[in-house]
Amino acid sequence: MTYLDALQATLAGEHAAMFVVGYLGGQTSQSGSPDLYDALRDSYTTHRGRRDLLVDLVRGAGGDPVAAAASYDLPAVRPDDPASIAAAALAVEQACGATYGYLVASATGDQRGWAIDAVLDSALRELALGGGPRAFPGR
Amino acid sequence: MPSRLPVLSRRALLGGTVGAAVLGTAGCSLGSLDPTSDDPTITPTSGPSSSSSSSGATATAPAEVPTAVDDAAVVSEVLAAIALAHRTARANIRAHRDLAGRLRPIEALHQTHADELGDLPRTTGRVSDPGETPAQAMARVDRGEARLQRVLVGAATSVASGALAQTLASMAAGVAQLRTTL
Repeated sequence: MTYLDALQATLAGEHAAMFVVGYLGGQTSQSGSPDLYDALRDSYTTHRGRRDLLVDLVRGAGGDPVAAAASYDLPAVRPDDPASIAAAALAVEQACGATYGYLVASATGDQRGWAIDAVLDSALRELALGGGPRAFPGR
Repeated sequence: MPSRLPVLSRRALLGGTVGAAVLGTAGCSLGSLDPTSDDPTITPTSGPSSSSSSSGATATAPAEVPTAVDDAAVVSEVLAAIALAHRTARANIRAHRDLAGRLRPIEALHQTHADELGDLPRTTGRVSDPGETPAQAMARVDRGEARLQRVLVGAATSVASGALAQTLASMAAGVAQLRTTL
């Protein structure tokens, strides 16, 4: 897999993350679960920023940024069950962290540094979504 | 979830015999979304073509591409940093028994990370002070973990091997997670 391939795959992941996290945010009560709501809102903002940056990076690497799909598989969650929403969001974050881990493997220089930052950010975001410390987050 | 890399021996990491694993087919969709997921390898590049983005992330090829020999030196430095942090945690557990519950997970993480890369080397120097309060001891441990995290990030940035970079970045993330629980 080339660096451009890895960028495109990471971009595809961010498209999906935005879709799923946006959906999960819509299932979350701001008044009933304010911490979870804030975590999801923060997550959405972060994934959107990364998506925009990845689009730029793909173009900068000479590629045509992969488009978002029309729809994605959504996790089965219930609005009255914040734990299930947090668990689904945690799974998204762990998957994104792993995707950035592979981007680290395929990148060098400043691009690798940015991907490393994303691995660390995803790891910390996991904790805000109820995850516990792991020995190798992002791998 | 993406298939995990096998446990990497130091030799495998440095020799580049283990390719990075398939990029997660689960990706972030919790389903299949990655059109390149059937590609079995990720090939570390020797330096991306120069590019820039609106965010300021600019690609610059390194003046010299690190080699596996350089990677061995980096791994040795990382192991030394892990050993120092490990000894700090262990010494402060002995000095403050009531901190053991909080510091044992750090001790275990260091050992897990060291096992991934090789063996913990011996270290010297003062890493605890019997006169410190538990809060001061925890602050000392956290400073040591912060230093270790910086070493890991720097190492991940500089090594030639993509698989090794991924592992080191993952270790840095693990340290960052655990620091939040201190």
